[in-house]
Amino acid sequence: MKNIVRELRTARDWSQRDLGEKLDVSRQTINAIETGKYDPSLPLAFKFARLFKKSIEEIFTTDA
Amino acid sequence: MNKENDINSILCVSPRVSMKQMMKSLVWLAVTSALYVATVYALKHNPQWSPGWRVAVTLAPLLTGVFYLLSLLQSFRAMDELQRRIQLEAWIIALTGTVVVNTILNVLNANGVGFADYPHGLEIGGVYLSMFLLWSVGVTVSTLRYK
Repeated sequence: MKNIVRELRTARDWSQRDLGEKLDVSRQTINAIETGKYDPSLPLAFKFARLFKKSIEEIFTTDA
Repeated sequence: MNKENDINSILCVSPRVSMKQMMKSLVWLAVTSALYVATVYALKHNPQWSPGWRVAVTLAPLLTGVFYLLSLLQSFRAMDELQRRIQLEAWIIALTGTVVVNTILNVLNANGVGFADYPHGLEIGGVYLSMFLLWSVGVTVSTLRYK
């Protein structure tokens, strides 16, 4: 799965740690999601969507 | 970001798992281990104790062991989803790896290629050691995988 989390985060001038604190996850989790090594659960994806005021589909897209 | 969260970040643990929680687990593990050693020593040097008393003393470390287990579960619940996955993968590696090691030792022994020190597979100490080592490998491999 691809995502635009890094773009959304850097546009707000947040560090990975800042974003992790806002979503109540570790910095490693944010890094793993941004690099595409880990796909978040649906509840966490909803948290991303709520925080960035976008739909889940706008943030996360499938590779295919 | 406070110092505690910096340490948690280095340890690849969720900010929700506090140092206090991790220390609590380690303290219960230390208490359980110390109690186990003490009971083994006491049982060895007091063969005159009644069977009932010996059973009670033998099972004493289980009480503190339960508190260790509960504190581990608390830490697990406080982890974020990626850390839970890493821990699950590590435990799967530890459990299945130990079963495989023990099975190999037993099969080798059954076919006359057994090691003198392990005629019946791993003993309880060997099982703990194998699980700890394989869990450490599992955490390292999984952490690197998601890094």
